[in-house]
Amino acid sequence: MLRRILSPHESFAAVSLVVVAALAPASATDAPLIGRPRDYFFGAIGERVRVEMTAVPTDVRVEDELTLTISIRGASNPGEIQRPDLAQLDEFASRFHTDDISDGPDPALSRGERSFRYRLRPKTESVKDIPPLLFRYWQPRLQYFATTAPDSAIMLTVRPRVPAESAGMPMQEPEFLFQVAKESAVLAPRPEAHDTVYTVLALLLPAIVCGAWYIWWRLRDPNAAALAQLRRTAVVRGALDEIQRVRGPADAATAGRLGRAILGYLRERFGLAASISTPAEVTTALLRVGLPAENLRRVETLLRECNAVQFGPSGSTSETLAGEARQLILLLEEATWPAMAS
Amino acid sequence: MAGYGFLMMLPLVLGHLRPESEAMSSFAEGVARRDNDLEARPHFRRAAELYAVLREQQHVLNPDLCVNEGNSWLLAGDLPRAILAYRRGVELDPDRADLRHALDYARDRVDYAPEDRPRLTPPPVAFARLKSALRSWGLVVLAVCSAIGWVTLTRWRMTRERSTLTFAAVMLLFAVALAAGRGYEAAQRRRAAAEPAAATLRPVVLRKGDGPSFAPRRENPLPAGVELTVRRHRGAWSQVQLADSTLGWLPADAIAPLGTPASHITASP
Repeated sequence: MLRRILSPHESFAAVSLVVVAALAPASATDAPLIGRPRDYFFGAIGERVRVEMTAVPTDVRVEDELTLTISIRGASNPGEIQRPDLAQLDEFASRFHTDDISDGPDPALSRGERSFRYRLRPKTESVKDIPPLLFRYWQPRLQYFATTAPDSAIMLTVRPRVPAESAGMPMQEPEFLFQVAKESAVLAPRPEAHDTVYTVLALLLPAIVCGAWYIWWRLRDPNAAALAQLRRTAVVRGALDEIQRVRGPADAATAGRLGRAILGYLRERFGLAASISTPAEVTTALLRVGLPAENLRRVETLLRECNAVQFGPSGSTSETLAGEARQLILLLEEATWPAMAS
Repeated sequence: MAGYGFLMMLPLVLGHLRPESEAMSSFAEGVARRDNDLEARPHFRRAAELYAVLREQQHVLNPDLCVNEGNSWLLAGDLPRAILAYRRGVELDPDRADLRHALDYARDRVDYAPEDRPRLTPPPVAFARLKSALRSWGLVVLAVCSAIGWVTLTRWRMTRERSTLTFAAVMLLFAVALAAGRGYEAAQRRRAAAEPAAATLRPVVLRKGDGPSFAPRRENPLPAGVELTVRRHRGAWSQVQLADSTLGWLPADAIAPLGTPASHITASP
């Protein structure tokens, strides 16, 4: 038979290996490689090895857990028996999800036994049993790989899963979701957007109020209004600001400042030459501009008063110099630009 | 006392309870049963439906109603409608912190694929703090600046002092800038509110065309609660644009517009 399948050389080699294996001393620690089954052999060696399986509980729902314990007795090498990987065995993998449970130190070892524990979860309610685990071991005395298995399958009652809908759970939502507004708030009218109206009002209402204020001020104090008009000219504004800074009676220093301010104003406003500085020269120059004679007299008088205070005896002052200077500028502006001044 | 109790129960007995009152009692009932979600959720759903009826049929709309409706939908397990309710509220009052917080929470619960979340979540409002400040304090600051500016300008007209003119100009320019900013912000909000926004009601595949035979536009289906903009309708399909500008087609019955008509929401007892 062997000769019909194998070539003469191969037959010779195979027969030699079998003979060698058969003649090898039987030990509890190893089993021959030749003829070793690929499946269901987990390294057990013994004269009469027995396998038992227990499961707790046996009445479960789909996906519920049960604990399966496989106990191996009678092996001469319990410590060397490998853990059967049930997830790789079709009859288990098709029925169960399998999780190994950490065995820890096996108390059965002290009795010459070995046990393995698994956590199984039936995949469907059609699972009716835990099939017996086929278990092969090396029989050293008879020199063959024997096969054993538990006496019978473990019958299971697998019921359908508990539908999630039927099991109520406390609501885990955050607390703020359970707070709601009161009934009166719910019925409040829709907030209207008046943004544009308010913005325009905020922008223009002060303008209207200030416009009214300005009109009232002009009506109440026409002179002040005229002065304000005149201050629009940089020359006038400069002269008036300078005069404004002189407060109280004018002494020599302030009279000088007033005189320079008036001269500066006249030079800028009427185009007088820079060399003109005395009151007489100013009057003559202004005469050519065509100012009224009365105004010319006031200009000359004021400039002389400034000179008198500035260059007069020590301690001489004038109470009215600043006011007169301001009044003079108003008169000159009124004379030259009556429409604006009025 | 027994007589008073009967009087209080009378509207309930006669079935004449107004929607807002019935919604409040349904919500309260849901809260009372919150230890069992299966018992509580139907009450929250009922409350949400009544708030929706109040909004659609009685045309009541205010931020508080939106808070109540959104909370009710969320507790009822209807995330998309909760998001829409909160968005309505935020559009009415963008500065309501509780509404924004609730909207952010609801958006966080949308079951995006991890790589989709940043792309499909609506982007935050640009310059949100500045805009919020403009809305809350802008008007007051504008009024103050405008008043100071005009008063100073008037004083300048009276005194012609140049420094007052400069100050008035600065104040008035600031006021005008504030007014322009407020106007622009309001216009932006109006434009955003005019967008036909919607949300997906269920997980749905975005397709390249208006039919189930068209290939998917994206690898992942859109989960329920994705906010999008409706571009147009064709038959029973709607062309939509996602937050990442992806255009595609969805079945019209898989999305709920922001202005959801309550016709399909039955106010069943």
